[in-house]
Amino acid sequence: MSVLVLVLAAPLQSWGTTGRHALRDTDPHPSKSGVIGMLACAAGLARTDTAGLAELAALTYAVRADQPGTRLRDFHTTHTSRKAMPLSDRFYLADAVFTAALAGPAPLIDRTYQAMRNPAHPLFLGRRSCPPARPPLHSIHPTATDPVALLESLPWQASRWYQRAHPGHRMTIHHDTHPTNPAARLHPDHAVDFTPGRRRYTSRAVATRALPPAQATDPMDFFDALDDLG
Amino acid sequence: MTVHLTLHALQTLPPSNINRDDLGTPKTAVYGGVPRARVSSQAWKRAMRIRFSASGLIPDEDLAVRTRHGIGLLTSALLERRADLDGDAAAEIAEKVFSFVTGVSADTASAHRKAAVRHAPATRETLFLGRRQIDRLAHLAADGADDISAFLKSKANATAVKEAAASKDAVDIALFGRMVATSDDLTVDAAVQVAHAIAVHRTTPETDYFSAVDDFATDKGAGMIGRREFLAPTLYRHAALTGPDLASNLADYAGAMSLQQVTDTFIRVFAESVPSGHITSYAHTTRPAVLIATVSGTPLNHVGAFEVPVETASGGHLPAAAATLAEHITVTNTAYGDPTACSWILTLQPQATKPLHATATPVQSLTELADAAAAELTHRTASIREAV
Repeated sequence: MSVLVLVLAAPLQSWGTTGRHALRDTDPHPSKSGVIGMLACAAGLARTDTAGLAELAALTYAVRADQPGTRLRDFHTTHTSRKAMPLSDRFYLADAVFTAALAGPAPLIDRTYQAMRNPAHPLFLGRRSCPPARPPLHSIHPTATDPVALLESLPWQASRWYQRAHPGHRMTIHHDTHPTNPAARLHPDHAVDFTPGRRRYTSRAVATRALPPAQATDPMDFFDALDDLG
Repeated sequence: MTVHLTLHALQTLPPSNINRDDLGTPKTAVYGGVPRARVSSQAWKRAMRIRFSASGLIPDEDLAVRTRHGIGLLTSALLERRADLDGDAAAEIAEKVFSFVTGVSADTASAHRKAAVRHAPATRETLFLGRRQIDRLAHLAADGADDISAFLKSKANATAVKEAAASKDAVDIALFGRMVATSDDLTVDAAVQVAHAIAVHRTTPETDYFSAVDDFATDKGAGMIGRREFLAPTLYRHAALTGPDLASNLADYAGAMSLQQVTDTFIRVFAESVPSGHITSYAHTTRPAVLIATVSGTPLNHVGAFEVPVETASGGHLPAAAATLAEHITVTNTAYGDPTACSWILTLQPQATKPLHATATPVQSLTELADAAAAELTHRTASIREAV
């Protein structure tokens, strides 16, 4: 077993699991199907490659909200002749940072890591117009097995300004769990097939855990403190 | 292994409102904890599509139209071939062929029942249609016009009609892709990714209070008063184009429209297009002050350079933005970059953007930059495709 850690940060990201057509919502944190889709995109899997997708979707997933961001509604019109007509309301998460951990067999994690270094298609955070602001690859942990335990110990990845503005922020982790866990919610977020026209998702059991107040990774120095007094 | 072209631009706009929400307010997003001007990727992609045609770099027949009037366009094309048909009959045939291939039905609302083009109904959804596709459909419909339902029942005809609609020989469809909810055969995966443009500095919309004088007024009051919001941002713009993806989307051209030519044109329109919202009030047509093109195995977006908003004491965001970007590019390339990457830079203010010059090969013109980057991308794409 080994664990791959990704940091997902961008001005805009959008992780819809329910919206279609005119109303395209986003979940408050990266969906497993979206992140698995990104790994498949990096590996250059064809949309019809359900076996390759199943292998990736079998990874255990956990995601931590380091900087939750704010919801942004984008009003999108399209033009026919000269008239603009509303097409869709698209929701985004602006200014968010998440840390995702995926656990699975070491050879698969290694292959995924290599693919992310040289992605077959450009990576995006949920929607094609949302490229990551920094390369998402954070680290690989060859002997780790539990993505939740790993996320509990990894340093806080929020931006410096956010850490200062929200000292002691309590991050939450949303993670795969067993369906019999009484705290589990079922979410239609397990990608089964990305073939156009046959897109299919099944449910996955998700549980949430709140962490103790986060430690600032970039402690304020004396001069910064003076700046803040401003 | 694959290869990507990434474009990075710093572009300053004068007071303007090129992309607004349903209340007329310029679009914004919070980034780095502060509000920023934002121009959506779809707004800039449309400006690029218009520029393809306006610049004359891509012939109109190699482009697509985004419209609800597809049935009307097909009716016109059909009537050119079959002058013996009357307009209503042609519109009916066009509607049948159209819903057969796209799965999209005509709008039954009376306002749309007789839409603008040739009195044919509008479709319920907006479709992205290549002009060559419409032409090919018209050609087939002309053959089967005498009994279109019987014509479409034949398997050979049905296949021909579907293939005609699914062909990818429209440059903007090959670049930006197409999604048709009712027909997966028509879906094309985009070869280009365009990010929302974001201001490098804190930007809050300002309000322009205005009064209009009535030239024949008898009192001293204004003819009307109003308010409009505007911004004057320096934007970071970014796009990524994947060589092998574009090459395979252009396969239907059989070499008539090459990867190099399309990439070259894409770079040019990226630099030369600006969304036209409120253009008559603001005349905001500018060009990027800095344009960087990179060909590499790792597509990197450098917006993170501006997560901490640029602040200047002396006014002007460009010099500070260029210095921040240069540092970010150097650090990111060292940490994650592809050592074989090649970059070119075009700048309008060499003094202000000096720190960036070390990151790329300077060029003097957009033509030089586009030619060099397109040639490199094409060369690397060809060797990857040979290796496969």
